[in-house]
Amino acid sequence: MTDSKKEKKKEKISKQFAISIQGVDFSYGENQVLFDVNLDIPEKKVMAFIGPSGCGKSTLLRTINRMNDLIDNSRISKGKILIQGTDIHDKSVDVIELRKKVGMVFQKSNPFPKSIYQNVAYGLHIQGIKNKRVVDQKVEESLTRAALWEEVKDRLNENAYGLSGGQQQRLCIARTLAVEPEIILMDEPCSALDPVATGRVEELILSLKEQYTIVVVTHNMQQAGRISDETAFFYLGKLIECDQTKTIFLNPSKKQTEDYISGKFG
Amino acid sequence: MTTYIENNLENIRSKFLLMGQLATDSLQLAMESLLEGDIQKAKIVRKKDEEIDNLENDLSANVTSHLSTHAPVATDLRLLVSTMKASHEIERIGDEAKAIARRSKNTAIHDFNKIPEMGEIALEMIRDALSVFAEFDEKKAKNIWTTDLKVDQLNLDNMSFCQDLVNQDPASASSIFEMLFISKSLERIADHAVNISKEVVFMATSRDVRHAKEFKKSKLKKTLN
Repeated sequence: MTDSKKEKKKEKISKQFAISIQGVDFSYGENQVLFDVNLDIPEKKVMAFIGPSGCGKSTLLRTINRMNDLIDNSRISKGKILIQGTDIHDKSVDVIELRKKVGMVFQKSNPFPKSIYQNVAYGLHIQGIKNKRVVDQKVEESLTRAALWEEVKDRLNENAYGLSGGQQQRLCIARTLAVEPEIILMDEPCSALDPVATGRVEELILSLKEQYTIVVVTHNMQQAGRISDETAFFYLGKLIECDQTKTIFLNPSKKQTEDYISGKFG
Repeated sequence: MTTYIENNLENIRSKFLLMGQLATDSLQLAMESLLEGDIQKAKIVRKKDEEIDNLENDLSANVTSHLSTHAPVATDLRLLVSTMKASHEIERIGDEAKAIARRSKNTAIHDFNKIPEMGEIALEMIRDALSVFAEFDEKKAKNIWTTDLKVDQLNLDNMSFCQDLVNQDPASASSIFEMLFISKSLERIADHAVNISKEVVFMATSRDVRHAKEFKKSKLKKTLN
């Protein structure tokens, strides 16, 4: 098979996945933090990234919607990332459009100092949607999907800072959903939440996977076990093992994975 | 922390093996009590059964505590789940040994037919099951499953032997029934050894072979023939 045929075959296969990470090396200046990462993330599934601090999992997550572009001297020095078959670093790709398609939820909830309503409507206004009826509908829809509507429907004009930590995080998820992404990246979304709020967000993630592809970075092994379909374990910038979550947590094939998830190192 | 986890798991493993040793001793003593008519040995079996029960309680408490505080995964999780289940099989072996010892006082017959042989095989099966727990050996585990077929056959032999005995000597029926119950206890002990070895397969490989079609008795019989 010629190289071009091989390339075409590879691209055809990569279209079957929501995200296809192919041989990615990534560096912050001189400091290389990812080494030849190859990973395919299937559509409408939850993929968990696990690994000790500094293993590169958050960096990899941030490369998926090019959030690392905002950091000076950071770059993918080798390999590429395809989303539904398209190279996200291709010149034709508009980064704003990419981030609309690939939303992100952060470790610490970061609502804007605005009302609950305005938080969710913010992305829609940026997109130029001004029809109040449409925006109202989208806000309600997004808050409902984020399992927050019933709790806030009577106080939409109150400041978002008045919500509890768990509610703020679900508000941020609603804000992400409002712009209709296809992929949602979550960087330790429950690390600042109590067990009850964590449970709500986890239930939400499970319900969202019917419509979205979700990638979650987590330090909570039990959380990865509860919510994800597949789990990828990273160590020192390398993908050590990726498999179905039940396999990773019952019988991982690599000793490093076993030692990490069992708390023997990391 | 790591050492603490390892010590905990080692403690659970050791308790299981101790239970296994006590159950083996119990069966050995129960068989001696039966074949030699030694009532003292029957009494020791009863005491050992209490020790086994207490150890099972301890082990369960240790496993529950470890599960709730450490949320183990992978090998550690499999070890805990399998050990807890296998410990119940050991506890049942202890009960069967106690039943044999109790019944040994009520048998007035002298020809035990296949029972001595069954006892020897059952003892060996328990030892093998404990040895695959201590050091996994898939071939040895599977040997236990085929050996169980032999114990089943010996039990059937005993049944027809007892039937003949009752026909010949109806007055000794109650004594003969005791012998039948003892034969059944040994057959059950062999089953428990099989169950332990199947738990060990799960513990070592994560494969659940308990109800696997290829290891059903009917299939195993065909492969032997």
